Amino acid sequence: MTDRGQTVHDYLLGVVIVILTVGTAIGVLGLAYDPFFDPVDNEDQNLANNIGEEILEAGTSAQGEKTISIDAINESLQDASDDEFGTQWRQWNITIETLDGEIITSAGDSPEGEADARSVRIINSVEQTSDCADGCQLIVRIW
Amino acid sequence: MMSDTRGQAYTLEGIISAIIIASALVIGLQAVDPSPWTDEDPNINPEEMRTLVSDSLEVSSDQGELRKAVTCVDIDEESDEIDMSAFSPDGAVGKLLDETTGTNNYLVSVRYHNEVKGEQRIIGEEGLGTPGGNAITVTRQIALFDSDRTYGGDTCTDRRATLEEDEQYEIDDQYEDDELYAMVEIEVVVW
Repeated sequence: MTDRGQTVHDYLLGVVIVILTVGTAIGVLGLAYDPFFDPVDNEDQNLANNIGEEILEAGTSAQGEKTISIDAINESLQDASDDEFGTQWRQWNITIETLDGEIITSAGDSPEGEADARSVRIINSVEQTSDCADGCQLIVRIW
Repeated sequence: MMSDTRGQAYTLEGIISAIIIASALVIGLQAVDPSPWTDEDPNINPEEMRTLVSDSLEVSSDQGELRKAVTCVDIDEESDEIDMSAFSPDGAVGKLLDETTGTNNYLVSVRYHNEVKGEQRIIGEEGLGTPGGNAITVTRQIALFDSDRTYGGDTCTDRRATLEEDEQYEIDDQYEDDELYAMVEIEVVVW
């Protein structure tokens, strides 16, 4: 039988390699493309941006567009429900912190290292006694 | 004479080689950092940076610091520019820009539209360096009025005069019949 084009060994080798190739393609090569994609969903990023904008618009004072009442925001955030911002299927966290990173107030779930969509806005406080009198960051995270 | 008994093995060998080369290309490409060619810092998201700079200027404006910064007279009588110390990293506006953007790679220029000559004139620049390829630009306009105060000195202290009264202020009244004094534009380039 030396004139056969395909031996049993070739056949088995072929089957094994096809299975391995398909498995590798699905399991491993997909991951190889990860660095080319943004880990954060565009939809989440838009949602974070919109929530940041919404909070700023709701809190705008007569003193300026970015001068808002931190106390009022704090109060409404503490009362906020899970789906307050149209975020039924997602987790969110809203934090106001100084430019040095000292947290003034925080509401929502605690982010545990997940890749999150984040919107950072710079705000000023109406309350002159607040730590935010010289500017603070309003950080909205969605994941 | 060529063997005709292992035809499929040769084909598979070819396919395996192609897979190995394609995988090596994909894995190799993801390790390549194109930053040096595109002149971009991957850590800076241009949209995010634009929002931060724009917010910082608005916050400075809300605090009254931006108006103070552009009405700060350079006390050197021979100077034909305003005092830009408020935009330096130690100044009120510059410090906020510095802290929010996390970089001191920024240029600030202040200009106004000269109504008589019909041209833009730059009356102050602050910052060093040349903007990179991914630089973002944010501008903000401020309307100055005849009754606005002028400031002077390194810390921009009140000179107890209005724009109309202070002859050392670099911009002349552009709208003499109106309460409006001039329209000033602040341009910030960050990279």
